Amino acid sequence: MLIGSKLPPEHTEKTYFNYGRAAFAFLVGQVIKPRKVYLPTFTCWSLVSTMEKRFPNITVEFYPVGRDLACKYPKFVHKDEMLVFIHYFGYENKSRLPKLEGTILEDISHAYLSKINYVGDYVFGSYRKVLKIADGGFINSYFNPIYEKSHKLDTWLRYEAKDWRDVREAENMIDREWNICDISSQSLEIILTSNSDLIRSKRRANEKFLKDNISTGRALLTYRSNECPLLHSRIMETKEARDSLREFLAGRGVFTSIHWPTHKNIIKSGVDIRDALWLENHIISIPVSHDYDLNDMEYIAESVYQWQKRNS
Amino acid sequence: MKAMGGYFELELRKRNESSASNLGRLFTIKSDHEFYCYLKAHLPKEYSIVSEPLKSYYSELTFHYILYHKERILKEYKGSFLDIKRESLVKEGERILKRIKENRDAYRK
Repeated sequence: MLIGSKLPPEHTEKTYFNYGRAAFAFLVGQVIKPRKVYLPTFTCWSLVSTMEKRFPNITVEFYPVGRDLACKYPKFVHKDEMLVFIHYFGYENKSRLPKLEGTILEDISHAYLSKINYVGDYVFGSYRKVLKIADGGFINSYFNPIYEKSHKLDTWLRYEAKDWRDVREAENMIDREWNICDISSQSLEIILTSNSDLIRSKRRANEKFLKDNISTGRALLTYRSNECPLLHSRIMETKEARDSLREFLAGRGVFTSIHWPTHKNIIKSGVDIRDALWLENHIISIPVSHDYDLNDMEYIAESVYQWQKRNS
Repeated sequence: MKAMGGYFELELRKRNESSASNLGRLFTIKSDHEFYCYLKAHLPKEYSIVSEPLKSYYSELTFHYILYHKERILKEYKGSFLDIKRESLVKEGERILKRIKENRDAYRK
């Protein structure tokens, strides 16, 4: 028998990173090393820009995503190919996966608090979409990465931030350049001590309230009982109405977002992007964070009603 | 890079000497992208730098930084990282801190 310090250390079946995109880049560059990557047309820019900046020699092909978020995957994924799919907004993506010899990557950034049976060869994501933390990405498998050197100034800046400006500046810094690094101790402590059941239940209650009490537009999704909403996504009749509502809500301190403006590489690719563009032009994503309660949701619903009244 | 209004005038202040002693100790600036954090981390207490980022999506390559001495604007830096001369903000960051240090040293003498 030996004392602990003389023995190889234990490890968990999880690997942490500074961002979801770092986890993704690690899988692409160090683990899978594919010749070709399939990405959805409806996606966050970080996956597309990671491929563009870090893997310019790997072919990227986009597959269409419908207005109902159904994915039109390629018919077959060959051995040296990789397909990425996303569980959008916490809602389980049940589009039938193609036949394959290649690798499936499952992006659960929006859905790691939804109780989903994962089907991907590798499951990865970002923690920052749901939790209010400075950094955090993960792969649901054990690896022992040699992390890249970085001052992690964006993480430092987030902790220095007094208002949205430095948080935004930190986000801009990541979008300009980033390295594959470990998660910060502060973020990890928050992740490991957060109450997933409570978060899920509060987010579900908030989302349900908005779904039941907003009458303009229509809800994009109806969450199942096992799912944890990232946001309350609504589809507005026109882009003009959506933009007007966004502006009105911002004036009342409710900041909404658009998921997602379509990346230039997707537009250039020649793939069918009609539905991705349609979503970009009609969607409004309203916060349902567990930091808020039903009083806050009532304020949002009332604000939307005031906007409706003003425009009727 | 476009400097907007104000001018670079450093006032000598005896206070916050401890902050000045931190100059250059935290990290060495290597990239123009680090300009904001470099100054935010190293400026003595009576100086500050504020970022005024755009609110629009995908505007990460534009910057707007304002350097203050107390409430007074000393200089604004506004532009795009794509347009500036490489390492111009690196040199500017180092120059600002060097000048503050020189002024403080001169004041001490």
